[in-house]
Amino acid sequence: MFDRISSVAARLSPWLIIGGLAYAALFVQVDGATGTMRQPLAESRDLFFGGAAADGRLWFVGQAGAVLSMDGQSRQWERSQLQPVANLQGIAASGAGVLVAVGNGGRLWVRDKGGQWTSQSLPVGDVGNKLIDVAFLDGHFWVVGEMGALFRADADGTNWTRLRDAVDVAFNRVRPGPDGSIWVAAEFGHLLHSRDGGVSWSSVQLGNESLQSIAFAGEEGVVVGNRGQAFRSADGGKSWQPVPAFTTEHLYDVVARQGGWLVAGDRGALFSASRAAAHWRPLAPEGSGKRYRTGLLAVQEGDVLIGSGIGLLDNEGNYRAWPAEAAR
Amino acid sequence: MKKLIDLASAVSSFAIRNRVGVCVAIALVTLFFGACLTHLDVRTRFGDMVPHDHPYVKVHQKYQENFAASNRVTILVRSLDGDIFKLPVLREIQRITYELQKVHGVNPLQITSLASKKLKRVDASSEGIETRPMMWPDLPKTQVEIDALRQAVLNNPMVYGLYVDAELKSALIQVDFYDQLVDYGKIFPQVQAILDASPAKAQVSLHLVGEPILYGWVAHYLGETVAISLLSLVSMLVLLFAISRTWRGMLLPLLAGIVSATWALGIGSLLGYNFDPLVIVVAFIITARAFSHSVQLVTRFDDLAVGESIEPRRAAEQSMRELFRPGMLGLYADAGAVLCVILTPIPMMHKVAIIGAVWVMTISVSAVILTPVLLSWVKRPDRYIHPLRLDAVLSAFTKPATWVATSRARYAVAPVMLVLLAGLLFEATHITVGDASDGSPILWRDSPFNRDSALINGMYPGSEQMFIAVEGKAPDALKQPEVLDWMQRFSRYMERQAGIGGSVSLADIVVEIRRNLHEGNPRYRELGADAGENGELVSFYMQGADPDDLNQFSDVPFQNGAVTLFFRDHKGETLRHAIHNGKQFIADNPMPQAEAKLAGGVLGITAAVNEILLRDQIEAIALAFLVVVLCCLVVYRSSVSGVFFIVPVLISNVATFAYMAWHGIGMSISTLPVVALGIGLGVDYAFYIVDAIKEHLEKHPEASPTDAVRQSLGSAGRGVILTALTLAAGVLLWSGSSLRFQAEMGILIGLWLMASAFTSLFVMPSLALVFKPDFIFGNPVRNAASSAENGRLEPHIQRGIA
Repeated sequence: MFDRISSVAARLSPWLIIGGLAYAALFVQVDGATGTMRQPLAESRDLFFGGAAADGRLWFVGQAGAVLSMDGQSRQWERSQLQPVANLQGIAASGAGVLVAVGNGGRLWVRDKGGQWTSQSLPVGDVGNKLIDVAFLDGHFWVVGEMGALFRADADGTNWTRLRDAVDVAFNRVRPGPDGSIWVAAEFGHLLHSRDGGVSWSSVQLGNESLQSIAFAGEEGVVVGNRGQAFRSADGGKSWQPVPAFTTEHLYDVVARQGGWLVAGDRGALFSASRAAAHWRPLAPEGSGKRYRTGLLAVQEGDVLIGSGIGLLDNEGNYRAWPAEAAR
Repeated sequence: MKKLIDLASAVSSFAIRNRVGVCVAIALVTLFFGACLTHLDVRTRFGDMVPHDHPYVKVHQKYQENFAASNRVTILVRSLDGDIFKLPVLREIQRITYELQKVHGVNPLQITSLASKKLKRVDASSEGIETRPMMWPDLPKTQVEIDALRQAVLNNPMVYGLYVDAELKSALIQVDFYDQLVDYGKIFPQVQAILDASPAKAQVSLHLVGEPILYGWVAHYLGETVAISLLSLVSMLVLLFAISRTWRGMLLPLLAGIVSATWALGIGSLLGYNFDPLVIVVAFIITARAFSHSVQLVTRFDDLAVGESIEPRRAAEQSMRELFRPGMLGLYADAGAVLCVILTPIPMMHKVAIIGAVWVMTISVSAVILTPVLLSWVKRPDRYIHPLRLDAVLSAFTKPATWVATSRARYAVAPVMLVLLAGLLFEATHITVGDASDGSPILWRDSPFNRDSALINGMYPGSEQMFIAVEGKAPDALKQPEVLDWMQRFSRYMERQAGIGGSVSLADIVVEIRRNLHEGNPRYRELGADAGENGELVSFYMQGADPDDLNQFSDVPFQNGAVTLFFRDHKGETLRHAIHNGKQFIADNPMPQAEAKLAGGVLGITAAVNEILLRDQIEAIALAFLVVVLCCLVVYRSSVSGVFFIVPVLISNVATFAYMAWHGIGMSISTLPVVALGIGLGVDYAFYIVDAIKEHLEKHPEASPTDAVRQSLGSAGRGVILTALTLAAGVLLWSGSSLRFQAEMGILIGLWLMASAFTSLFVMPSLALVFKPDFIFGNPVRNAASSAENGRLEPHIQRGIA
C-alpha cells in the first residue's frame, strides 16, 4: 500500500511542482501596498500665511485648508484640514481661546472653546473675495480682505458686521495701535486707522506701493510693504517718515521684538533693527532658506517665521524648522 | 530508448569514420560565422529593455515625444566657493551648455540650463507678464546684472530648487538625446571630454549622471571586461591543463567553447542582434556548458583509452556513443529551458532566449561531435605533459561524495537537503524585485557615477523621473480648475512618499504666473477661478516663450498633460510604492474632465519591467522544469525521472536566489538574462552522473548499485568537479571587475556552478541509492538481489519506485 502511494506520489510530483509554479506565476504578485499614506505634519508644498497663540498652543494656517498646531508644553504637533477646503490666509485668537481663521471666497472658520470648527461665509463679491487677515482687538475679531473688506464680530466670532463699503483696494493687515487704535495696511500705499473702535476711519497715503503690515511698540510704529519700502512713526502714528531703503524685496510682515523690530519678506528677506528703526541688519540664520515669509509671530522663545514652511528664530538668532520633520 | 541508442551508435560511427570531413565542415562553418562576427554590434539599446505590451510602456510611447526624457543626461556645476553667481561659474555653465550642442545624437532643443533659452525670467509689469531667458544669449556683465539674475532665479520656483539648488551653490544642466541616434559609447566620452576641458576647475566641480552616462560607463569598461574575460579563460585553461595533464584535456574544451561562441554570435550577427556588454557574463554560462560536455567526453575517453587500454579511435567512438544520451538530453533540456525565457515580453530577453538556445544547441556539434572526433586522433593517450598529479584535488570531492552515497550517511541526505532547501527558500523569498540599493546596481557604490548621483539627489528633488499622463476628454481640458487642482493634489500626495523629491505640472506654471501678476505675492500663488482665467494665465506665460516651452507639461491643444515626479532612487520598493500610491489616488479622485494614466519616463518603464519580472521569472522556472520533465519522459519513459532531475535545478536556483537576497542583489532587467540562463544550469551534471550509473549497470548487469555509483562518481563525477572548479575559478575573477554588476554576476554564476556540481555529486547518487528508481536500476528483482548482496538497504526501499 505504502509502495503504491509513494509510487503515485512520485509520478505526480513533477506535475504538482510545475502546477504550483504555474499558479505562482499567474497569481503571485509583489505587493507595493503601504496603505494610505498618512498626512505628514509638513509637506514640501506647504504655504503658510498666518499664525496665532491661544490656550498654550500655537496655530498656523495655510493653503489647502491646512491647520498646523503645536502644544506649547509637550511640543506635540497636530495637522488638520478645514472643510470646505480653501486656502487659509490668516488666524487670530481671542483671550478666551476662540479662534477665527479666514480664507478665500469670503469664508471664515470659527473654533469654539470646545474645539469645534464651524464655517461660514461673509458677504463679499464674486471676484476679489479673499479674506486676507484677522486680528482680535479690543474685544472683537476684525477681518480684512480684498475689495476693501472690513468686518467686525463679537469675541465669540459671531455677529459679523461689514464696516466699510467695497472699494477696489485690498486691505492686507489689521493690527492694534496705541490707545486702542486700529490700523489697516492696504494696497497702493493706503494706511487706515480708527481711534473709535471702527466707527470712523482716517487714511494716510504712504507712497504708492502696497503696504503689507504694520506694528506698534508703544508710540513707535513701523509699516512695511512692497519693494522693500518701510516707514516709521515715533508719535503713535500721527506722522510717518520713510526709512532709508535697506532692501528691494517685498516685505510682508513686521513685529516688535525685544528692543527692536523684525521684518520678513520675499526670497528669505529677514531684517532686524533697533527700536529707532534707523539701521536695518540682514539676518540669514543657517537653514532658514531663501523662500518667502509672509508672517511673523512673536513668542516667548523668539519669533516664528511663517511662510513656505514654519520655523523658530530663537532669541539667540538660531533658526529651527518646525515641526522637526520639515527639516528633511 | 533503443532508438536513441541506435541513433547514438550511428552518429558516432559516422562521425569517426568521416572524421576529416566532419572537421573540415565544422571548420568551414566556423570560419563563415567568424567572418560574420566582424559585423557584431556590441552596445546597449534602451529599446531592448522595454516590455512593449505593458500599459505603462504604452503610456510612455504615446507621450514620450513631449513628456518623457528616456535619454537624459544631467550635469551638476557646483561652485567650490560660495554661490554660483560669479562670472567664472556662470561662464562655465554657458560653456558646457553650448558645447553640449556638438555631442552625438543631442536634441539641441532639449538642452536646459541657466544659459539656455528654456529657463525664463518671469517679470510682471502693468502690461502683463514678460518672460525672457535667464542668461541667454549673453552672460550678465556687471554685478548689478548678476544680482538681477540671482533675484530672477529666486523668483521662479520652476528654476529655483529644480535647476539651482536651495543654497544657490550649484546649477543643473540637462540635455536629452534623440532615441534613434543615442549611442552610449559616443555620448559618454564626448560629454566627459567637455567636462575635462573645463577652464574653471579651480572654481567648480562637475558631476555627471543619467542613463546614457551609466551605459557609457559600461561601454567605457568594455576593454577591462574583455581583459577579464581573457584572464578568466586563461585561468580556466591553466586549471584544465594542470589537472588533466594533457593537451587534449585543455585544448578540446577550449575549442568547443570557441566554436560554439563563434557559431552563436555569428548567427546573432546575421539576425541583426546587438550584443549588450552587460550580458557578457552570460557568455560564460553557456561556455561553461560547452566546457562541461567536452570535459565529460575527454574524461570518459581517458577512462577507456588509458584505464581500459582501448585503442584511441574506438575509445573516442565509444565515448561519444555512451555520452550521447546524457549529453543531448542535457543540451535539449538546457536549450528548452533557455527558450522559455522568450515568453518574457522584453526584446532583450527574446534575443537572449534565441541566441542562448542556439548557443546551447551548437554544443551538440562543438562538444558532442567535435571533441570525440578530435580525440580519435590521439596517438598516445597515456602520455602526460607534466608530472604533477592533481588527481587528489578531484578526489577530495569525489571520495567524500562516494562515501556519502555508499554509507548509511545517504539516508541523511534527503532530510538534510529538505531542511537546507527550506532554509534557502525562506531566504530566497526576501529577494528584492527591482533594484535593491540606492544608485545604480551596475556600478560600485563608490563609483564616480553613484557618488555624483547621490550628490545630485541630495541637493535636488531627484535626477530620475516618472510621468503620469492626464488625458483630457476635450481640448482645453487642462485649463479646467478641477483638472489643475487634481494635479496639485496629486503632486502633494505623491510627494509624501520619501523617495519622491518633488514634482512639476502645468498647475505649477499657472499658480506661478498668477502670483507674479499679483506683484509676486505668495498669497496669490493659486489657480484661477475658471478655465478662462487659467487660459489667460497660460497665455501670459507664452508671451515671449518658445512654442515648445510647455511641451513638458501639455500638448498644444491643452488636452493632454503630465505630472512629472522626481525620484531620489529607483529601488524596486520605491517604485512599487509610487505606483501603488498613484493608482490609489487616481481611484479615489476621479475627474469628470480627464483620466489619469500611469506611468511613463525611464522610471515608468522600470516599474513596468519590475511588475513583470517576478511573474515571468517564476513562469520561466516552471516551464524550465516542464522541459526537464518532458525530456526525461522522452528519454527515460518515466515521470519519476522528471522529479528526480528537478532536484538539482531546484537546489541551484533556490541557492542562487537566496544568495541574491542575502547580498541585496535585486532581480532587475540586468540580472534577468543571467538568472534566466542559469535556470537549467544544474541539470546536465546530474544527467552525466545518473546516466553513468545507468550505463554501468547496462554494461555490467551483475554489478551492484553501489558499484555503479562508485564507478559513476569516479568517472563522470570527476568530470563534473573538474568542470565546476575550473569554471568557478574563471568566473570568480569577475569579482575584480570595475562593474559591480559583472562582479556580482560572476560570483552568482560561480555559486550556481558549484551548487549544481555539489548537488550532482553529493545528493543525486544518494537519492538514487535510497529511492532506487526503476528508470536507473531497472527491475526490482535485481535491486533486491543487489541489495541483499551488500546487505545494507532497508527492506521497504529495496523495491524502489517506478
